[in-house]
Amino acid sequence: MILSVIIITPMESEVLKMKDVKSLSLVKDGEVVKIVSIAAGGGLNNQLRAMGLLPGVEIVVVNNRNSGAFIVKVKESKLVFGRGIANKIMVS
Amino acid sequence: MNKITVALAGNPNCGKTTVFNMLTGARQHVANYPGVTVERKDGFCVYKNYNIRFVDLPGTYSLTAYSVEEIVARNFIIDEHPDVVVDVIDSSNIERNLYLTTQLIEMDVPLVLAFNMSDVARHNGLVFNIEAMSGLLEAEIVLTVGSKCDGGNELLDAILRTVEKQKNTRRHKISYGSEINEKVSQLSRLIAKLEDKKLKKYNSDWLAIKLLEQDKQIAEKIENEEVKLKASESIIDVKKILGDEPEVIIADRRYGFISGACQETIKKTVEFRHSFSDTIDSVLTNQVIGLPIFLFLMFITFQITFTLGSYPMEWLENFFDWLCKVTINYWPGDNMLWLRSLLVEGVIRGVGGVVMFLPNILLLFASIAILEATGYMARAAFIMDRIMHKIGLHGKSFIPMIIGFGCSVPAIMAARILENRRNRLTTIMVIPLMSCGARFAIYGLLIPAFFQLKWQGTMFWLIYVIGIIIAIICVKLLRLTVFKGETVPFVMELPPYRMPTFKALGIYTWQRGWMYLKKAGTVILLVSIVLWFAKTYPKPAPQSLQGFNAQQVHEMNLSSSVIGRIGKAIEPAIKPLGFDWKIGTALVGSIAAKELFITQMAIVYAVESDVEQSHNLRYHLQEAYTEHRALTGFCIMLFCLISSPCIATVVMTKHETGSWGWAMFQFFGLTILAYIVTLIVYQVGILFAG
Repeated sequence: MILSVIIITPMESEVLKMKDVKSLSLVKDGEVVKIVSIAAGGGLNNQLRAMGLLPGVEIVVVNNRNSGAFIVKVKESKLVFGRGIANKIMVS
Repeated sequence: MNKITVALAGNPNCGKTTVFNMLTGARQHVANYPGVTVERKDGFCVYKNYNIRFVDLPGTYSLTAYSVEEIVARNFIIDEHPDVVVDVIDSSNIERNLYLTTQLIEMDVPLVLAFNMSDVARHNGLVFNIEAMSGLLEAEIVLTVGSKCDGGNELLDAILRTVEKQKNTRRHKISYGSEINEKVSQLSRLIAKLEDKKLKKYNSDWLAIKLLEQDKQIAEKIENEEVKLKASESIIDVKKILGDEPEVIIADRRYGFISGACQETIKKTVEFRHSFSDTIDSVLTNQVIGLPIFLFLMFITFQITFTLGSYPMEWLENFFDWLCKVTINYWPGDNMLWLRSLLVEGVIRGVGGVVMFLPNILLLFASIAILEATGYMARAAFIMDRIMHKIGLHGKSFIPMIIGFGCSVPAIMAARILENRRNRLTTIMVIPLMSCGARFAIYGLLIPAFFQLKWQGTMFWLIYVIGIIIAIICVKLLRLTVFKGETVPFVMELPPYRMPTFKALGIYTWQRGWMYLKKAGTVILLVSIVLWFAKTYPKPAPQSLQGFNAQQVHEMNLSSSVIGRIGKAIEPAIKPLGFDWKIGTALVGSIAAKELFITQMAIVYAVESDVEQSHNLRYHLQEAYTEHRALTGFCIMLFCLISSPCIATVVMTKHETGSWGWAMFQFFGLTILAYIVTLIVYQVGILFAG
């Protein structure tokens, strides 16, 4: 049996209350969503931005398998990242 | 002739290498940047009275301190002051690519932009107003198609114009909003006043931006307390007023600058929906058939490398045999026979044994080049990541490991495809645990000698699987100890599928082949000679050999040599593993090359004919090891599998990791591990065998 523990910090719960804002990892294949926020730390945050992921940008989820890596399309480029990163990206 | 240096910067997959190849042809020199395993390519070109050196910087998305590549790229620009920086841009994906450009603008370097893959951009319906854009970015822009060698001369002309032109101060600076702009200029003024020699080479505005971005590498360089204090105050201020980290706001403003510049200068004439790449991806990254396709492609790569490669390999082997024969036959009389033996057995056999693998290396790297250049490699990493991630490695690590079943040497070279150093080192360390071709030869000799027919197939399978399991355990252990640390979050781009050009494939393959040959010619030659001496000297006194037949003399020679003495000296240590001094000697000898284990055993057991060597040798082995035969055989194989990789592997590990430390760590680490594992297996084994 797999136990999953979700810890919601006060700030995140604010975000969750907002209408339609959810974690990217919950978005299904083929859906088009807009990035609301990225909660990654310093270096990674810069890197994601340099690769074109930033609030306000529309992305298409190409491949969201139940586990493992995640493919999205941002403008003209296709990016792959782990589920850990997808969890940190909030979209609407 | 004027000499100038031009650096090529650009995103990964922007076609920077094709532009580099277009400008320099095959006149390239590959090395590593000092101290790091990031490849540095220099190329040369003579054009209109200029002698131009091009330096291909590592492909990066930005110039922060996120990765070694980014640090290397920006340090090169700061320390070596290239006369011009050419920023290669994938013009079909312009906004993202211009992000790096904004940072080059911040560094205030003389800049030329190559809008590469302009054919793809045109096909996608993008029309650029080059003149307007060039005015906004204050840099010359040239449309190029690197893969078709289009726009090379125009680019060279633009470079020369930029060199000859007097440098103006920029009119358009990137605005980060009034708050941050003000902080930048305050900090910049403070920095400009400093009398710090180390900071002279930096642009003070750039330093100020980096301090606000909380760039660790730059922060360390600032010693002045006033500047440090001002920087941290500014960061707190920005967070308070704008509610976000300054680096986040700065990044967003850079994109703001880009979209401002693009809005006025790019027209999109066709709305482009589903691309060709997406169609292929729906098959190749498919959940169900993606993995089988990948395994099939790996199988093909392996077949091309080792099956197709075996023909030219045989020709080379025959050539070296012929060379040995010629040397022996045409040797003038009985003079200096030791030199003849050194030449034949040390130099020709030693180097020949390594050069023989050149066809494999070339074919392997041609295959890898195709996988990389078409864009498939990134998909392979995606497909394997799920499995490899569980053991703490990157998806791409699978490729060098597969190659390791053929030969560890090219496998270690293939680990270059891994960008992350920790991943790469971990992979390199465990590659020798993949049973290579030479180990296969050892198993092929020992299994029929020590096991009944019905167990032979299982034993082959078992020994390969044991190698893989130990490798997985080692990766886990290494990740917990030596290569501890957070796994770098996995973010990667899947480049569009592209047709590779023969020129690019040829240059890439040749560079790898040449790198390999240089090793064979230097370090491996030296080591072969040393091992030849160890195997040959000291010789027993001539009178003590009288009355013995040729084979006995052979054996006596061996046992008096350094290697034989080592074999005897370590006998007490290897006794608990079930090995005697003869096996010990063969094991020591096999450090030069794993397959030498067989040759050494043949010498010890005085096997006459070369032709039926392995058959006879098996018979001798069966005679010699009657007690715990299967167990002994298994232990020998286990030890050969895990213990010290061959000398070529050690040298390659040193070369690829940049330090003898890692090579020695691998050599001794694996040997100690082999000892422990074999010891446990043998001792437990005899306990059960009674």
